[in-house]
Amino acid sequence: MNKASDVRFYGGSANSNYVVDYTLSTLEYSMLVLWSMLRRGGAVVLIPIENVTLPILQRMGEFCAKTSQGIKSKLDSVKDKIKYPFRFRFKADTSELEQKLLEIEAIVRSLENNHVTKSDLRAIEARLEYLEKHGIVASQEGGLQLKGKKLSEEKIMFLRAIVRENINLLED
Amino acid sequence: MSDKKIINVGIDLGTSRSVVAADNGIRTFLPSVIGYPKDAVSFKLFGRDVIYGDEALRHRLSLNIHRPFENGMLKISQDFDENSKEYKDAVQTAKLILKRLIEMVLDEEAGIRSNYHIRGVIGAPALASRKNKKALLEIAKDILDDVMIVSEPFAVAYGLKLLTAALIIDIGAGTVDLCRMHGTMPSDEDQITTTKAGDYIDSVFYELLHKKYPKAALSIGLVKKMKEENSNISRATDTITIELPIDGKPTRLDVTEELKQACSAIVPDIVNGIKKLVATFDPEFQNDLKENVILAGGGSQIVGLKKVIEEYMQSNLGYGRVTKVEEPLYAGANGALLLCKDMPDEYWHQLKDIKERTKK
Repeated sequence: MNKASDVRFYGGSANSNYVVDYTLSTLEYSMLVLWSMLRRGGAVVLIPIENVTLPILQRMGEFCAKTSQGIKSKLDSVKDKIKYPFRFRFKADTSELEQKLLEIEAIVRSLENNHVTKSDLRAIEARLEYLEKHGIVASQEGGLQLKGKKLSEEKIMFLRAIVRENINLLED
Repeated sequence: MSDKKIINVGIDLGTSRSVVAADNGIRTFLPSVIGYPKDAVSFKLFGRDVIYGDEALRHRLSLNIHRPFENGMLKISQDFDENSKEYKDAVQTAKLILKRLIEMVLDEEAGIRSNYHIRGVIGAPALASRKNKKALLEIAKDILDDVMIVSEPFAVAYGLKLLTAALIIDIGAGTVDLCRMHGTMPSDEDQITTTKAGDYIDSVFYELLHKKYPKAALSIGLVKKMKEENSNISRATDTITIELPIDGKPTRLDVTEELKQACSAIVPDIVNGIKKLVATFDPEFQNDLKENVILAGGGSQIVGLKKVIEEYMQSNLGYGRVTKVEEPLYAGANGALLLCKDMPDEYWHQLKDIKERTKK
């Protein structure tokens, strides 16, 4: 291969890396956004999730899966045709690419397997409602704790005085 | 009680309006008026034997109207006898109003009354006597499951979280209550009550209009309504005219000066009260007090009143900053509700034990 081909080849490989990195980041970002939305309150975002985000993620996932499969199959088909002395370098580059493609596939599979359902979100909502109703909040040490009435000393003094006055009224 | 839902309520039983704020989200009021049908015809018209609030006022010609409160307290003589008919009738009438307020709170709830445990804090005028406070407890008996009485301006201060260095002026229909807050429970020396309030303005306005337009048909109710729509003591104000019947014909009359004069009639007692409370305060903290004068109650809505008080304080006390509360009608009830919610359970239980002990 001449120098021009070298550039084209390595340029192509670099571009593929970039595309894969970008796709991976996009997927991760989309999932983080989805998770953030779920944490803020499932029912409110239920419709957008169901009608917009999930279909997009699914299609992206399908696209990425197909793309990654396509790239992998192409790579497999040309791998053994590359002659020495370029074979080792090529294999090193392709193995890194393959690794990334495998990561994307794993994410896509997990999306498909852990698809958030309406009933999941309802369960999250019901749990949140229960916690709020019973004044249970996250503790700093981890876990949950009961939120108690934290009154200042000044307020307690006032309230005690009011009770005393009312007791005097009753005992009069 | 453990399986009953607790509802906390803050109540302001005012001379003109009775207000309730509850922690189930209900906030409402009704005029402190009830009416009983005059005869069989009016009973048939209404289909019931007690009419409340606005409805009673609208149909007052066919009802015997009762206003149980005067000057912020039960409308009975100062040295009343708890066994007298006068006292029992007054308590009964007041009970009906309180009961109606609680029904309005429970309107939103799915269950029946016995499913709920209702705790209430009721505001009383600043210098209400012990007898008057006990009368309020009597009114609340069998309507609220737990009840406490607090000073009304103190409830306003508590709701606004102004427990130190503040001067609360609660201008109601029956009384103007001034209360100075300094980080402890206000004593009698920290509170002033004057009876020149909203109803006094109505009577002065009535007299002035009657003098200027002797042929105009007037009633206190009409005059009160006109005052509430137009109350003003500001110098920079447009002409205020109202329509009054003269010999049956509606006639537009200029009442600007009369209304201003009537509204201004309560100012001297208020500013004298401010002067007394500031002057007798610890000199080190007098400036803090002057910085935090709070106007609450329906009368705080008089246009120009805030400025007049500030000008008085500027010329007589060197400085004054007056603020109006955002919700004058609900300030007292909101504060009472917050007190009710903050009151620890053990204090309520303590009170209940004493109540049961004294019953025996």
